[in-house]
Amino acid sequence: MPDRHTLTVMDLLAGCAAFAAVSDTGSFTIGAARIRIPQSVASRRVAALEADLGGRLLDRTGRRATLTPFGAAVLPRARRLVDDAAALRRDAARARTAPFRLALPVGWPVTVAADLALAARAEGLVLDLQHGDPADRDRSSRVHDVDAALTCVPADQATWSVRLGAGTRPASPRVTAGGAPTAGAPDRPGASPRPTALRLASFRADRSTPPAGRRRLWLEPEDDVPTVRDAVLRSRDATGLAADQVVLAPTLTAAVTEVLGSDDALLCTERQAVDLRLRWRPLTDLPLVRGYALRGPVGGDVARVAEALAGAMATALGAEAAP
Amino acid sequence: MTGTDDSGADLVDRLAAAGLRASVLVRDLDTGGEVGLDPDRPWPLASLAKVAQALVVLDRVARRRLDGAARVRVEPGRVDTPGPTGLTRFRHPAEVAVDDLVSLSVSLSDNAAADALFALVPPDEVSDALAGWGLTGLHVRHPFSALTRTPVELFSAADVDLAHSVAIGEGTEGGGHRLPQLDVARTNAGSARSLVDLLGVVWARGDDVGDARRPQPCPRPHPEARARLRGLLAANVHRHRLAPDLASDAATWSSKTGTLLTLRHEVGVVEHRDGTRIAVAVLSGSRIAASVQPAAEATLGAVARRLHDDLRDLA
Repeated sequence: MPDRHTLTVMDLLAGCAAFAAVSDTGSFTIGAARIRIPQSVASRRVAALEADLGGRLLDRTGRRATLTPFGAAVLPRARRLVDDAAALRRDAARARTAPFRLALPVGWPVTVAADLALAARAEGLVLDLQHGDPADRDRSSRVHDVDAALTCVPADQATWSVRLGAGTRPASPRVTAGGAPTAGAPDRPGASPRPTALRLASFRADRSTPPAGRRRLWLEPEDDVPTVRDAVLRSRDATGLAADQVVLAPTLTAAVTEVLGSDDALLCTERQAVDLRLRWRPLTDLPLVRGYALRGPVGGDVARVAEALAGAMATALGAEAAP
Repeated sequence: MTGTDDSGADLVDRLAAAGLRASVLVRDLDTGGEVGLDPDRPWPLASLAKVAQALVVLDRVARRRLDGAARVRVEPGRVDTPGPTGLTRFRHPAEVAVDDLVSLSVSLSDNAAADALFALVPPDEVSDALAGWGLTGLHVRHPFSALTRTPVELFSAADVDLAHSVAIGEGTEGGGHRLPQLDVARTNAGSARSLVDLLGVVWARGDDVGDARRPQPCPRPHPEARARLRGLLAANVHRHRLAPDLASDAATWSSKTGTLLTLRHEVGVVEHRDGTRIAVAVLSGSRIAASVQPAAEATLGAVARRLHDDLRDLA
């Protein structure tokens, strides 16, 4: 063996596989067939391995290919390399199909969550979706209960930002003198146009309005985070609203129930308002967003997942396109 | 709640909904009947202390121990934050008679005028005179210039909510506070009951001893001093807090407000056309970090009115 060639790791592994198969079966023909390569390729790979390792591995003179003493000495480790490579492939396959546990806000419509999971699958990601309030999601992403959580963050740190506004009960059809509602309630000529925006300051009651008649703004648990809740409360105080005119609802359902039964408003995104069949208007004196980013335990591949889901998550949230 | 049914709980809830905690006492000055909420809690008095000070100064004027016509040179306050009035906002020195300083102090709540009076009658002499009239629950300890040295004056106007957050957050058990102006042990302090007692003295008829529940008859301030103070309280220009709910053509409302950071106070007397005279003291603190709170003002008015009506209905 005058010339020694150094093989690449891939070729070394291929040579080991051919070597192990031939020595197991005592035949280049049968060994090659077992690992599904042509006999000529098996011969070439074993020869290349011999050149790399610097010695004959197999004695080809007899009817059977038999191990040389040098071959017998290196075979166990060659076999282990081949076995480990196979195990590596199995691990990879399992890891590819294991679901990625992702914590999302409570109250997403099933179809929105399913669309997100479907879009993720196209990116080779199987999602196991869980739902929780902001504090639950934050905690579970830190203690490895999930691989990542859609976490509430300040707007300047957000991957996805969704504008918040006021969702109110849709205008009921006008009842004419005859008692029949007019469909669509078209505005009469000369009637003032319906406002396309609301001001929180307009919720302020005059002194003659009894407390029960004050209009309220409901916050769902998703907005019980400092970036949103505190800004709303500061705005409430600065515009002279009563303390009880901003209410944190125990659940989204509870908030929607109040809003549907009164002139109150729900702080929500336009997308939510559509799903809840509420009328949505921006609050011009309270320009707030829900900011979201994917956060997960240290060492996870959250950044890759965030990139893969960028578009689908923006669609699900009704967010402006990710920057 | 003292003296009436259990409707106190819903009033406390109503105050809480407006971000308020309050002490309220309403007393019929002729029958002595009263209703109230937490009336014995000590509060920082803010500008309410000017009523007590004015009574002492006017008594000395009436007894010729002070010359009401004497002119006093007052340095300009030069304060330009919203709230302070009168000489406190002046740009240049002024000479004002003692009688008119009292008028500015009580009817306009002018801090500079009141502090000029403290130069003539120091805080401890005011407290001593009050104690001599049996008004031991009122403590006058320092001049009013301290009321315009709070975080509101330190921070920019845009951060007024931050100044109020400091005032809300720094209170401690037992009425203590990081800010001396809000610490009942260090500032001018008193309870709703002690203020109603003061109003009872000012509105006492003639020179009668009046209050049957005070066993030791005390000397009274001079009748002229009391009459003048009633007139100055009737001329109060601050009428946004309780006046909208208590005053009418059939009921005059003579009062003094006190407003400092989280504190919103007003004490006064409603005099009805039928002769009923009802003293009202409302002392309140807010947990909302805002300077202007219309809902809080309206709620205080509504609560005072409810207790006032309850008391009249009891009679």
